[in-house]
Amino acid sequence: MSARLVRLIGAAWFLAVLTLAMTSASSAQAADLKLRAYLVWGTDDPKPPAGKDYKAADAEIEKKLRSLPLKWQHYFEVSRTNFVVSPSAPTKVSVSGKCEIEVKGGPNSIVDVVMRNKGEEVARQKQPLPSGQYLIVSGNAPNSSGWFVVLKREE
Amino acid sequence: MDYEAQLKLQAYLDGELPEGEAKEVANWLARDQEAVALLGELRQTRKALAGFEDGVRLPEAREFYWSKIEREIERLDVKREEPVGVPFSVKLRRILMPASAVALVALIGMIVSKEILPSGSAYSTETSFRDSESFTYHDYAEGTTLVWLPYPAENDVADEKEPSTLE
Repeated sequence: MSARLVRLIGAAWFLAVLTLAMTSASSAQAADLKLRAYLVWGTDDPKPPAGKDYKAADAEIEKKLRSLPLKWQHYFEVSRTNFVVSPSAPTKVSVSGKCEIEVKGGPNSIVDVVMRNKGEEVARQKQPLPSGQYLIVSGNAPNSSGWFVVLKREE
Repeated sequence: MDYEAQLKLQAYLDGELPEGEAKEVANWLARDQEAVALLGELRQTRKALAGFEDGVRLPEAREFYWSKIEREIERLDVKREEPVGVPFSVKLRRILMPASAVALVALIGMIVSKEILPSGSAYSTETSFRDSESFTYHDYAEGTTLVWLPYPAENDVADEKEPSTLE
């Protein structure tokens, strides 16, 4: 076997070990996730309530909500927030005075969302949230309307 | 006349046949002219060659000469059977070659799987609800997960009236 082939074999081994090390490192590391949260109001009224300056939800958000088995015809954006989540620092998104969701990041694009009502945990959803996918937490609101917290992964 | 019969005649001429067989051949010669003629030829041939053959003289005694040859043959046989040690580098290369091929295939597989599978796709979802009225809905085609809770919001989004239910 020629020396050239031996060098080639050695290089292949080095590359394999290096790739394995980099892959393991990237998998193990819990990278911070950039998220955007939309607080959306769903209703059958074509206009927002009097005195509320809500704009129509983004076309993309509306399309996502319409693809779900929901009854409402119109969706209005109440607010939106950009934030970064990490395992060590969960982020809270307020839905109302007594209802909030807490978002925490994990490895492999995992988001851990805890829903609290009056300070108590009422639901938990832990799942991967790759870029371009949505996690929507929702519930009923008075006057036959509904509320939605739409979480979208940015980047 | 077959080949065996000719050899028997030659052996008879050389005096190498046992007594019984020699008598048989003699009887055969008494009635077979062809055999007599062949015997005559063989006799003539031997007579003709006798003068040309010059004996080979060995430089030493016959037994000693042949025992030297025998010893040399045995020595060569032993040398041929002696196992040749394989260098460590050769052994190492024999292991490294297939292992390197496997490592390369695994490397390519890892790179391809990372491109095909989105990160986190192998992770299963965990869901827990306190109330039975809560549920989760997945739309894999749209890449959307809906978590429905039976809790109304109270400010900004809603007013004080009773909430209605989801269809």
